[in-house]
Formats: sequence, C-alpha cells, structure tokens
Amino acid sequence: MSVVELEHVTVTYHTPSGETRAVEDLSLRVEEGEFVSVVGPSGCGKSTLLSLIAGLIRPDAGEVRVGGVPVQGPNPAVGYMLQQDHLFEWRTVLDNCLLGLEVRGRRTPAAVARVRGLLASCGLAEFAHRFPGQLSGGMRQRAALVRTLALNPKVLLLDEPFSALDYQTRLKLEDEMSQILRAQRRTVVLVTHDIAEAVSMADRVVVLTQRPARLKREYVIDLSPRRSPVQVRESPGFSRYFRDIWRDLDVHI
Amino acid sequence: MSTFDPVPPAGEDRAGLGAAAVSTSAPPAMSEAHRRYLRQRRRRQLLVFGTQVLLVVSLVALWELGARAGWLNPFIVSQPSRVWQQIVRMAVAGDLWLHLGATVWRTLAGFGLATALGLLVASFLWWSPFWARVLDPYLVVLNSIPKISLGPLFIVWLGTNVRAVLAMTVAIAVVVTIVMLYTAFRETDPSKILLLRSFGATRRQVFTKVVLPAAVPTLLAAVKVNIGLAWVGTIMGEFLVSGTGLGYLIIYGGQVFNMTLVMSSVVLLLIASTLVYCLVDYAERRMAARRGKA
Repeated sequence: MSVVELEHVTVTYHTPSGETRAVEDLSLRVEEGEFVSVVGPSGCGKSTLLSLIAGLIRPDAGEVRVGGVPVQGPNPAVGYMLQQDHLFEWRTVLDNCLLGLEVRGRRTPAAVARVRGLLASCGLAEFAHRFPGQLSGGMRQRAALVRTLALNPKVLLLDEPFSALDYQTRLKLEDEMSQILRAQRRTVVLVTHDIAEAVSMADRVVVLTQRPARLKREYVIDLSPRRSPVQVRESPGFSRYFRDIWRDLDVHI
Repeated sequence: MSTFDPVPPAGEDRAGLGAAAVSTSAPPAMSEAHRRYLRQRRRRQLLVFGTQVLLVVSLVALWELGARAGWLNPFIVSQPSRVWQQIVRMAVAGDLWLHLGATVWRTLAGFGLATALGLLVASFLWWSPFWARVLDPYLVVLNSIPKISLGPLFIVWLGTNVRAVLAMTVAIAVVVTIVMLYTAFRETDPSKILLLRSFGATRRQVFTKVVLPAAVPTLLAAVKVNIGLAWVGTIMGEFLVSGTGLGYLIIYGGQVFNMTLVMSSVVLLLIASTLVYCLVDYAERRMAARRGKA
C-alpha cells in the first residue's frame, strides 16, 4: 500500500520580482516501509517536495495524500528532519526531544519514558540532561532523529540530514540511522545531493529534473542482500548506479 | 544495547569548559612554566586593580588638598570632607533615606514598566506583521525625538507628581526596548520556526517555544540598557517636577548654589546606580548559567 502519494502536483512560488515554478506535474508513490532517496540538481525543488508531504505548503494543482488521506496541514503522521539539527540550546537533550510531543499536547509520563528509550537506543541515554552545546555534531543529529521519532511518525522526511557533518561522522551516522530506521520498518523519504548516500541508503532512488522539478528517472536499488550503507558502497553494482545517476543529473559547472 | 561508540564531546563550548576546569582544579603535577604563567596573570590583574584604586584615591586627595590649599574654590567645586559631612548629616537627619529611596523606587518602577510595556508591544508587532509594517515609521520618529522635550506635556497631563516622573522614565526607555526586542524576535532562525510548524505548532506556540526563549539574551541586554535609561528618566523627571529624590536635590542645590549638596547627591547616585547595575549583572549571569551556557 502506498503511504505517500503525490498526484500531478504543481507548486509555484511568488515573489515581487516574478513567479517561479518549483514543481510541475510531479507524481510519486512511496510504499509502506520503503526507503526512497530523491536526488536532483541543486535548487530543483527537492525540499519543496518534502514541504508538500509535511503539509507546510499546499500545491497549486494536484493532490498529496499520506496514508490515503489528503494532506491539509502539518500532520503527526509525518516527521520532518532538517539539514541542521536545530536543537534549542536552552533546552536539555531530553526536553528537545519532547518538543513535538509538547506542541501536540502529548507529553505524558509514558511518552517521556518512550523517548528515554529512544535516546538509549541511539546511545544518548547518559546525555539526556546535557545541553546541546555539550554534544558533538553526530550526537546532535542523533538527538534530532529522536526528536523526530518521538511522535512516532508513519513517514520520515529527511532533508539532507548529514550534509552539515564531516565525512567520517557522516558515513557512521548513515549506517546508524539506516540501521535504526530499517529495524523499525519506517517509511522514509531522503532528499540529498549526494549520489553515494542516495544509492547506499535507499531501496529506490528518484531522480528529478532541473526546476521545475519533474520525475526524470527511477532506480530500484537491487544490491541484495541488504547490507549497511558502508558495505553497499563496496558492492560491485554500486558504481553502476552511481554512474547512471551521475549521467542523469548532467552536472555542468 | 547501544551499537554506538559515545563520541567524546567536542566543539568550542567544550574547549571553554575544559580551560575553566584546568584553572580551577589545579592538577598536582603543575609545570613550572604554567605556575609562572598563572603568577604573571595574577600580578597583571592586581596591577590593574591597584591602579584603579590609586586613581580614585589620588583624585579625591587632590581635590581635598586643592580646596584646603586654596587652589580650588570650595564654594564652586565643594570638597570631599564637606561632601562626607553633608551625607552623614543627611543620614542622621533621615532625609537621605527619603530622597535616595524615592529615586531608587521610581527608577525601578519606571524600569519595570518600560521593560514590560516594551516586551508587550514588541510581541504584538511580531504577532501582527501588518501592524509592524504600519507602525514602523512611527517607531523611527518616536525613537529619534528627544524625550525630554515631552516633559512639559507629562506635567500638564499627569500633574506635578510621581506619575510624570514615571512617564518620563517610560518614555525614555520603552522605544529602545521595543526596537531591540522586535528585531531579536524577527531574527529568530526561520528553520527553527519551520521545525515547530512541522510539529503543527500554533503561532502562539511558535512564540512561546522558540521566538521568546531565543530572544532571552537580547532581553537581558535590553534590561541592562533600560536600567541605565531609567536612571536618566527618573533624574530628568525629578528635575522637572518632584519635591523629593536625588534629582530634586541636585536641581535645588544648584539653584541655591549649594555645590556640596549637588556633589553629595551625585555621589549617592553613583553608588546607587552602580549597586543596581551589579544586581542586574548578577541576575543575568545566573540566568545565563541556568541556560547551560555559562
């Protein structure tokens, strides 16, 4: 069953200097438990796609559905993780992770206990009462993941969540996150400009065109058996996917 | 079971904490070089402090000596011993406490009013971008007008009483507060707001959970500015209308050519404003520490 459905979606931005079509007639489906990466030339409207699913913007034409229900606004079934961790430095790690529950009025003792469990599963148990300034970049991004998972979303949207990290931390975190997310059988849409990241983490890679974003091509990543992103990068099929997607993106500098 | 190796905390904040830890809990094996460094540091601090004390002591001594030797006319510049006697006399008679209390109370009340009103208006402006744009030029005009020129209006409207003094204080401090806080509110990281909106936060929740807490450092800075401006407003107000307070004593002393009274009041004002500033500074540090950043 498709958890996320976009049908013939069009989005236009208006500014005083004119209008920009960010997305045009885009259709996309994401199945339950599927991990989909979205790549495209920079500024092509990848983030717009996530904002649509998260209900932060409404399409000018077409329809967006999550769990079969048309998206009317921000929805607890969808968790949105941004490029930076945006942890609030005046809250402890635990309080940061409880932010979404607080906003939704669901900060119950049971919920707090569950979030503590999530923190523990991400290796942050002993940092629950620290402030974000005392954490390393990788730990901060893990805390941001817990904050997103705290609302137990059906669909997870990741907007280049690793791009602000250094290379080693990034590889390690990709491994950790994909392990956590796959263990919980989450439906994930990952937006990235990093082709290797897209291929190594996903079941399917969607390539978008230059703006306005349309669907250019899809790749079902078949590198079974499913292994961690770092191992996938070494498998023989990997470089073929990489090359093909690179050609699709048709980068000019 | 965690699969992760806890990464040792890193970053600039940590570096700061580490440095602090080194200097407070001196390890048993301290190198000679480090001891020398610490000694030199302490010596330099002492030198600065000593010079500071020396400067004020010698100025006061020179003033007293000049007045006694006849280089300075004590009728015009007064003299430290007379200032001291004046203060003691007033303290014994009890009117020192009356005037000092009146000024401090007005300053604190005016400061509280201006800060609260400024916070309220700034919040409203953030809440309503429409009104923020409408009111923007008016704020600019209000900010540039010398508030003292409004003094006679306050007297006529509010009477020659404490309300006019408070109005003066609020007039001087409130616009700066509004501008400072509104700017801080508007500069809240848009991504942080986006994050809250993705949780389905209402505008009110966005304000209380991100915009306001993120502006706390600015609020504390505004508080420091305001306390200074509140003294200005109160003394101005007392110049104009009051029959009590240090501002009244200063203007009265000037009128009857009693420079000792003027100087004594200025000295008292100096002490009171410094004490209040230290109090505010202390409160600010405490709050910063609570936010886990100290």
